[in-house]
Amino acid sequence: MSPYKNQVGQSIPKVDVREKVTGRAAYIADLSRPGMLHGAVLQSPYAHARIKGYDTSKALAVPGVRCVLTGADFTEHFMGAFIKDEGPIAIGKVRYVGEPVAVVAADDERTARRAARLIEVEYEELPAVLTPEEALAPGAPLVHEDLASYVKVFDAKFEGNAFSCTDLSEGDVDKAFAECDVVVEGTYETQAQYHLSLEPCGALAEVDANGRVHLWSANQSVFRVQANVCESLGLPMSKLHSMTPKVGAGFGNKMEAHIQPLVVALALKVQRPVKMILSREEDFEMVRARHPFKIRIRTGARKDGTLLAREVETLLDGGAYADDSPGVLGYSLLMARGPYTIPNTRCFGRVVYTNKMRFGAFRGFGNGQVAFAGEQQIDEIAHRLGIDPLEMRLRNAMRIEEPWFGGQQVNSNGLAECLEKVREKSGWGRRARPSRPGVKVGYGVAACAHISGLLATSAIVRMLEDGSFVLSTGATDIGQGSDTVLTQICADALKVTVDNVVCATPDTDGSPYNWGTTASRVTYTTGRAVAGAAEDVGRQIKEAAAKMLNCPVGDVELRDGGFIGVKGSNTTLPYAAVAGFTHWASGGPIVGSKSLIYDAPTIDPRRAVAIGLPFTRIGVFSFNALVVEVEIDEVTGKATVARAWSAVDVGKAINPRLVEGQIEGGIVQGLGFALTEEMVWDGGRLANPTLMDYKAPGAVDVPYEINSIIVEHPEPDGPFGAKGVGEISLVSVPAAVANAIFDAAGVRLHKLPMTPERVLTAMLGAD
Amino acid sequence: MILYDFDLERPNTLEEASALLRDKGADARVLAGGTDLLPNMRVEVVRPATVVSLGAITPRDPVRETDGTVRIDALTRLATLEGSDLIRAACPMLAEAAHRVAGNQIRQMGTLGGNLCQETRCLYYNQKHDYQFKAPCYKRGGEVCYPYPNNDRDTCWSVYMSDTAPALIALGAEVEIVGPGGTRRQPVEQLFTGSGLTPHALGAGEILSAVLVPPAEPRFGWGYHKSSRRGGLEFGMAVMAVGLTLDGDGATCRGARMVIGAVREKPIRLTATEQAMTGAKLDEAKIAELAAAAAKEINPLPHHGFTKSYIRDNIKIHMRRVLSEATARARGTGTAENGGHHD
Repeated sequence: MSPYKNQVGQSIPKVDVREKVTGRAAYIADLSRPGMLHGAVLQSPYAHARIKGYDTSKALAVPGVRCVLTGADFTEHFMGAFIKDEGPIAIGKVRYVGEPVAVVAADDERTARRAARLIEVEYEELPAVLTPEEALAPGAPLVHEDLASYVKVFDAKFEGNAFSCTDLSEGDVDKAFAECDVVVEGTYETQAQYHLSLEPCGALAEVDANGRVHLWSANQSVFRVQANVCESLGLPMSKLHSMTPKVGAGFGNKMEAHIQPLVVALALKVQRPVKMILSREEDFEMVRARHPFKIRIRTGARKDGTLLAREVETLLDGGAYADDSPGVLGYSLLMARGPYTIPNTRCFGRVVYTNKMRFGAFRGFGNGQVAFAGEQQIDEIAHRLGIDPLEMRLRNAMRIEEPWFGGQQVNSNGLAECLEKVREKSGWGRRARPSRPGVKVGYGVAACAHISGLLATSAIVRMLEDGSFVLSTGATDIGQGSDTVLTQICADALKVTVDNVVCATPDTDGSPYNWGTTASRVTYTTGRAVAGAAEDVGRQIKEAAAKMLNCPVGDVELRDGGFIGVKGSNTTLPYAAVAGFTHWASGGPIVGSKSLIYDAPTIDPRRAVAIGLPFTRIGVFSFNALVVEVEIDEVTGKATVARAWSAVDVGKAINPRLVEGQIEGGIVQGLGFALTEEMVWDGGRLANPTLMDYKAPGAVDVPYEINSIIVEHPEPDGPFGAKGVGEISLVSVPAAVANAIFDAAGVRLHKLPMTPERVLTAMLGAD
Repeated sequence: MILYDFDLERPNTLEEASALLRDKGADARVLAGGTDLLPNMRVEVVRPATVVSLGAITPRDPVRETDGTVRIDALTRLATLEGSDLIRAACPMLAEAAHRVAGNQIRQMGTLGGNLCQETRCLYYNQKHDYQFKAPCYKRGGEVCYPYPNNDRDTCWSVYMSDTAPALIALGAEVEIVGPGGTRRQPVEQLFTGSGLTPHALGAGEILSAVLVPPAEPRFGWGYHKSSRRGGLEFGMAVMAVGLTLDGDGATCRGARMVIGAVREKPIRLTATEQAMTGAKLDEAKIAELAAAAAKEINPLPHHGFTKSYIRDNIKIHMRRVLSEATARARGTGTAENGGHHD
């Protein structure tokens, strides 16, 4: 037997790798129940219209159709993470093209889809607002007339179609700008991006003989699914059992509800299992997408490069329902200062209802948009002052122990090391520019921070009769590998190898609460709970062993490989002996648990003023610096990222290979955001809801050389020092590419995506 | 998911297939690889009552006939073409064009005949119409054109996007067609009507059976480029194909075929620029002038979000590269492979 090695810090293969590579992993579309029906949805053809009536008779007459539900079948129960403004289906009026207005359950999917087309809905078209500016215009039609009466989970500031307005400031901004030697100002615009999980959304619900609902769905949180379904259907939570199959990625799109409430409503109505899987177009049109931002930003510095002041104003298109929008707005303002010492910062933002699909959480959560603007301005100031852009960032980087914007204490900060590492590895400033005719080459840098944390989580570790362990958390592994990482944390804390720990699948009946696989939080937040639960188990093992060995608890210790040892002696007991003793003789089976909530305050009222901010406790900080090498075709304007160097301070890499996977994945998704991806509306209609016309990068469009650099500044209360990595590497990509385009071609792009047309137009304008 | 019912026929020969097509009339469609027909059936651009599958018919490998003509069965998979030693040696432009189609999985299914017989495309009608569109467009039998609402010609302005057709026209290739009256041959360019409504000039019961590529003349050179946003899984923003021959001096152009695809209802031959080229010495300055003339001669339809001027500029830029490559190949001096350009 090879000697035991610590399980944390090793690139252990994913615990579910075999079932995935053999194709046997079951995703929502693979599931089936006896007697199962299939659901289909009818979508709204109008951006804004009153529903006058339904005629479902033709649909119900189709052989094989078992049930049709319309808005008339639902009472007004509303869900929403921040503002309860959304029912499971359009009730009374439709608010965007593509919104579900009716659902059908039938013997097979084809029959259901055919029948859905036969439902007749009488509409009275209403004037629509398709942009935030239209929505804010005096006398604009209201998307939600009842906004004032909706339940809100925070002290929301709202007016007209603007459903959340947030102010955040620190220092004396006006005075500071007056002291600046250089001030840059600009407006920036970012586009809607589609999440593009390879697996579209879907759900399967079954009602048992006791009237209890069992629900499987593509999700990022079985508990948020439970909460949303129960809120929007008026069910007690004890009546709903929410489970997860394997999930084919989630980037924020599967965190809050998609079609789960509709599927549950159908199953309750017909009392048979019902499954519904969205087509790619439907997934594009009715789930959610990244918020388009308009950003006005001003940054000022002294001649020596010291940043003094920043002012930011954002306007977000929120779409037809609030969803996570207030959070995205508030978080984007918290991130808008960037990871720098800027003592005077003032931010104001609004998010506005429009007659488009809802915009919501998406990897980066508003940070990538403000970084695109703010990180270009850091570069602009550096160039004006003749300071190297990377050096400029190092000079202004938040000092270790310096608080974040708003006043939150930061307990680990590897920003300077990230910047130094990418400078060294990329050969920044020392690299000879490869010159080829017709190609301009440039280098760009950007830096950012991102949180991991937010809200509650818990873990239970149980020792089985043979001394192995079951780990239960409510955290859905969405493909990123959290089951593996949590297993490593648990195994390491108990000094056993990962094959002695099994990570149970999340399930609201059997798993302890977890808010969700979101906010880069599972490794940090759930990892803390797992480490705490394992520690609890370790303590109980020692207590039992002490009883068995008839010695004080202080004399026994956990030893590598799953043994109890007596300090200062070779006497050992295998865990199996302890497990047998507790199961069959004394003490009872060992169960350890840990519950926690992230509760360090974000705002220090002595430093900062925050109004209408929905989050008051966000999380701990990871840091990132990114250098990209961009090639621009001089005649077509096409910008290609040839190489990238991304350093991320993750505290401690529990599984380095999975950390690298997250860094690479974030960069690739960030490149789509930066260069090619854009949801385009033609009036109220999404014009490109297909993977042919929506230009996500393919394998040949992304750099061969992505250098992932792991930096480890341990977070004091993180599990083994770890903090999050899920989102951060995406955030800096658009800004770094924009800065490299400037370096190569001398033009600044203010609008995403930076398509060849836009780069070329800017280059031609600059000549 | 295809929501309507249809009959499936699976004949054993092209002649049987032709007879079936003639019997079923306009409500029948041919299924070869299915990579164009099936998505179009799903979005209901076409709603055939009968699908005539050619799946039971096995194509022969491409062969060189005694006069040097390369004969390629229409059912030959695109992946077979790009990997065929014969095609790569005898007509490398066709191998290149086949390689540029979509992605590997699609090329494993898609056939050369199917690629030529593909429907025209448009950002509007190649999408499901369950609810987004209040009335059918011209192509779907209605009376509106969504991309060109002020379309005063009352017709469909969709774009024919085959990657192989421009190459075959530039190579002077012919198609063989099996029909009720037997077999006929015609130049590839005559396969197209130029109408977005009915892009192909095939009669009732007619099926493409083969493509015939003539042997290259001495001092022949080719250039090919497909502009697209991504490097793969794309239809072109513009496709450029040039075949030219040089005189014995290695500089003067004896004749040329210059074709632009993916910008109009059919591939467009730039005959004026071809004429201006013939007899000219193809130096760098002349090539730049010809590329500019080509961009001026073509009148692209703006499509899939690309503006007319951006398409024109792109053609001007890439046609220069294409002409340089063709000239170098004709001289036997350059084999600069056209790898990696995809913008």
